[in-house]
Amino acid sequence: MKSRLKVLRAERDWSQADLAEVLGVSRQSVNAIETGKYDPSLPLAFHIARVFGLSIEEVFVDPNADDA
Amino acid sequence: MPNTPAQRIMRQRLIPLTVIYLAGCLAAMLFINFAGPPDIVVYLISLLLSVPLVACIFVIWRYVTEEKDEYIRMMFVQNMVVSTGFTLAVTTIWGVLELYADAPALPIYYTLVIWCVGLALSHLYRRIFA
Repeated sequence: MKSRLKVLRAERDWSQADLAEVLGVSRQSVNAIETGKYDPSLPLAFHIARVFGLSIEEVFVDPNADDA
Repeated sequence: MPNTPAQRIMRQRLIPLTVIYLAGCLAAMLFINFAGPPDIVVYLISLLLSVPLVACIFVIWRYVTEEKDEYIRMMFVQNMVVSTGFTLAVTTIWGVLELYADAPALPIYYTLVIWCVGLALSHLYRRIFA
């Protein structure tokens, strides 16, 4: 699943390690989510969105959005 | 692989168990060879020696339940599935070889060893190619 994580992180001048620390996960996890290798669970997705003060839809791109 | 708190705890649990197992093996070997105890005692010693190994399996299960990082946990579980498949494949192939080609019997004890090798290989593959 695509996300705007990298852009949002860059806007705040955060490294992957910074974001990982805030989220309480490993840097590898942040990297895997950013690169689309791993889709986070709903609780983690909510946590990420909350950290950026956004809704989930503003952070993650719905892969089936065009089908709706 | 990153060092999560759960991984540190797992290591802290596995290291003493490994030391206990190795020390136990050495002590049992010396005792059985030099004291020549009756069969029932040898059986009991063997059962005691397997306790730390079974405990290692329990520690791995605890790790999976305690790992808070869901991505790291997912990777570990995937590695476990790969290593289980690896173990089934190796033991099946070897079993067929024993059946038809008179290959030497593979002690069941090696199942855990093969599984650990599979886990290490799966982890290594991810490190290099994933």
